[in-house]
Amino acid sequence: MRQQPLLIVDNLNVAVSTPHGMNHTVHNVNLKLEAGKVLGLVGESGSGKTMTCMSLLNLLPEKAEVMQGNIKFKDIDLLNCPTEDMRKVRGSEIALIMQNPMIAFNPVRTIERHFIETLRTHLTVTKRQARKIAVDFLGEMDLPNPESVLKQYPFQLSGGMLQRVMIAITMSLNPSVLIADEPTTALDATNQLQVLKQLDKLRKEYNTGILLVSHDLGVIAQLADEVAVMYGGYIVEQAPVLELFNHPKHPYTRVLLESRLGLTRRKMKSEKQVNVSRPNLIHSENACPFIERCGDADHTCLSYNLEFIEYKKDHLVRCVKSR
Amino acid sequence: MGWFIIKRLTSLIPILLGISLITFILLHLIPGDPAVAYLRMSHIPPTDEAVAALRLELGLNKPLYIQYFEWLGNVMQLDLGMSYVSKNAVWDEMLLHLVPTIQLTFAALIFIVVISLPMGMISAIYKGKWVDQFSRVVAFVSVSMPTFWFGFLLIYFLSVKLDLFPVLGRGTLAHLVLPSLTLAFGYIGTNMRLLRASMLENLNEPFVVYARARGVSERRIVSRHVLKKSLLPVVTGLGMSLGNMLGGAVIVETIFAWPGMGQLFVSSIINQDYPMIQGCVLFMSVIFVVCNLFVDLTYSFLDPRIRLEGGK
Amino acid sequence: MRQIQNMKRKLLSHKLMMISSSIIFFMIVLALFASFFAPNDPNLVDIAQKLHGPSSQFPLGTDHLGRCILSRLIFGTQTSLGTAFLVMGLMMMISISLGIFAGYTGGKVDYIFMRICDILMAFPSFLLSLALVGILGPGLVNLILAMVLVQWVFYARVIRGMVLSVKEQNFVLAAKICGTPKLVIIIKHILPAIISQVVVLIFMDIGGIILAISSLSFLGLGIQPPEAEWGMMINDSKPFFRNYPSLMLYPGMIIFIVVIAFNLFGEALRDALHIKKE
Repeated sequence: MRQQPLLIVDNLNVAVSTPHGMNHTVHNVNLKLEAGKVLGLVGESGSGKTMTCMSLLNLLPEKAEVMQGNIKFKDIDLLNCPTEDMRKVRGSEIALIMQNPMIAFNPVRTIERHFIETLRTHLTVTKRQARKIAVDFLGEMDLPNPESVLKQYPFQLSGGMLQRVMIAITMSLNPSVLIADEPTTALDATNQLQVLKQLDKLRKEYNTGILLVSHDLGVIAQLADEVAVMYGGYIVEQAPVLELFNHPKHPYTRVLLESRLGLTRRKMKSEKQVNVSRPNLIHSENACPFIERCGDADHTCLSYNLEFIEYKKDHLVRCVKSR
Repeated sequence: MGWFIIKRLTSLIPILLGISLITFILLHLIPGDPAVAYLRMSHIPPTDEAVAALRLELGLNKPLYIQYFEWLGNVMQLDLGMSYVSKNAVWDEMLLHLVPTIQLTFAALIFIVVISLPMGMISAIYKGKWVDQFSRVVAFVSVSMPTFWFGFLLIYFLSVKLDLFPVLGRGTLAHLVLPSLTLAFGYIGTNMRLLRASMLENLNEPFVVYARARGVSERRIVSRHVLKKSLLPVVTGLGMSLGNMLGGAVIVETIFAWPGMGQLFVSSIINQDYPMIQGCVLFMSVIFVVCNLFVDLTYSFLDPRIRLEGGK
Repeated sequence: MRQIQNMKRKLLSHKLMMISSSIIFFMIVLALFASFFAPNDPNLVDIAQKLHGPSSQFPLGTDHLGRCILSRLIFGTQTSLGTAFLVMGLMMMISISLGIFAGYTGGKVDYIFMRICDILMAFPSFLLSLALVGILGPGLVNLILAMVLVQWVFYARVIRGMVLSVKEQNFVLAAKICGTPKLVIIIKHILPAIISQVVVLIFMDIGGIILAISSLSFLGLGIQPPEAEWGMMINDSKPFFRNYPSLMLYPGMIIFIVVIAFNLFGEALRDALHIKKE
């Protein structure tokens, strides 16, 4: 039985203004996130993953803006809600874990100040109570000696520790949705595993819906229930995790999987055909965004209206060849 | 932190020695014989015998390096010689003039802080708006204004025309307003722009995005996160202004007849009172160096990255 | 929206550049042809005409010795700007050669150079210049000497820094590997690479030099009477400015305008060169 999704992104379009005009970085993105589920968002850098995340929090950079679309969280229309309401949603209902923990904290303020500030923004607690909560949650993150961690400045902790502090801050407010933007990229292997475990715990114990953004399919495979693959601002393929890994339909998904999973000699060859040039996002109107790098591309890809094709139930592909 | 202070203090020794050496040499740049100059200042006819006697008395016959070390030894004991003009000890005269200058510079520092910090902050927050444009104009005017002219404008309009402040001299608090404002004005622009630039840089840092994502209010982000970090470079800027104001004080004290170090220095130059010139340069340079040291230490104390990691 | 703002900014800085450069150009022309523009002899004393208001003969009136203020302002352009350019030129000669020498040689030479810089920069520079003029005696030559001897160190250090960053770049390394002589590398590769930055530095700072020179003249330590100089004109007006504010108003105004023009021009130039680089 399916439950009502927590977060619905409907036909989201984001554009960034550049000296050469508006550059559309996110096209017609549709996502649904349910409580206790993990939705993986995969793609290379520049594919629009971070822009999508930031528009969920209404925190797009100055030059970027949402051109079209709807984002609904529970019953709140996030794109059209007053600034003050949005601020209350951030952190307490929709939380964010940043890519690089080393620069996400203010170097001249202690962990304690960060933690207590966040708690007291959303809860009516005294400093002493907030401190107690902070210690509890840091302990739950397996951080040794939480009391002393609180007293430290961010540059005194390692990246892995900071990432766990960030998760502890997130958990302490028990948000319904967590956006984890490349939570493991800046970490070494042991810390990666730890952080993934904590995220899993968050989903199981707190029933949090997680949007897990990564370019690393290994991370996605471990945690995600469903995966959306982004390329050039489009979601090119979306399917349950096993389905996607076993039956990738879009050429780009296949390239991703091949580069990740064991490469045979034959596949190496096909890998070579992949042009490494970055997609030029401005000129594409009706053409497939992957056309320049696709081994199978022909004239049909030029005037393709980029409709999703339902390959199977819950498995959507945006490729004219997958019919 | 302890090591940092010790390191910083030891680095002062060669600098102070260098300052003393240059100050010492300065006096030997006087065109002609210092003994003759001394006699002329004292209205004694520079006969050969008088010159020779004085040279012996002042130790001018000894080799230069011995003169230097003897002089340095005296300086260590705060014996900077005797003024040619007033015949008082240089050190005593300088101490007498030090307090007014300290008053003046600190009053100016208050003006700088009170004017440039809020303006810098507001222009960073409202970047590109009219407040920002206005502050840019103020900054340009501030660095391009000749101090002495600004002082005269203030005297003419606020004292002579409107009679709001006393014109010259030192006494009440009202006497302090115009001189310190004049002194401060040239430093307002740089410090204001410094804070603005530093805040704009920090506003784009990821920690601001993360603070927003945690729901922290915009007001709090500016006041607790951005401002705190942005003030660090401004501390250095203010400190440098404090040191440089010793130079500005010379002009301001001359205009407002403010009996401080600057006025003492200028009058000693006009009277060619060489020991006094030497003493003033040495003394003010030491103050300048100590000021900079103090700024460095304050900075390292305020920035936890240096305080805890020893300035890596 | 942003593009429009960008355009507006560019145009504005363009406009500022036009205004500031025409002021500078005008001042230079004024200095070069002072005797052509000046209505009267700037040094002609006529006590009978002292402290007069504006008239057809004296457009801005006369000073306490009956000299034409406008003519003195125009001739003051020669001394004030000329001195500033001379000081800047001499300083640049010293600091470019020393900065390049220290930066390019590196090692012990550089170390000694840096320690000398440390010591000279430990002095409050204006006070040291003041002391030097005081010791050498007032006068234009001594003033120039005092400014140059004290201030070169700041520029030399900045230029050394520029050389250091250029020195490690590939085109210099390539020239080195090819066995190009040191002097040729410096003249053909290093100098052109830093020259635009140096020009910006000159224009950003010349306003400050003008201010420092006029301050020294204001204290009576620069050019000696009867030659006209703006700072000295303000000094001369000290006893009279309460009743005759124009004596102090005009010279100060002209210093202010010239300095602000140079500062604006310097900033616009820096922005322009910066844009080119990107």
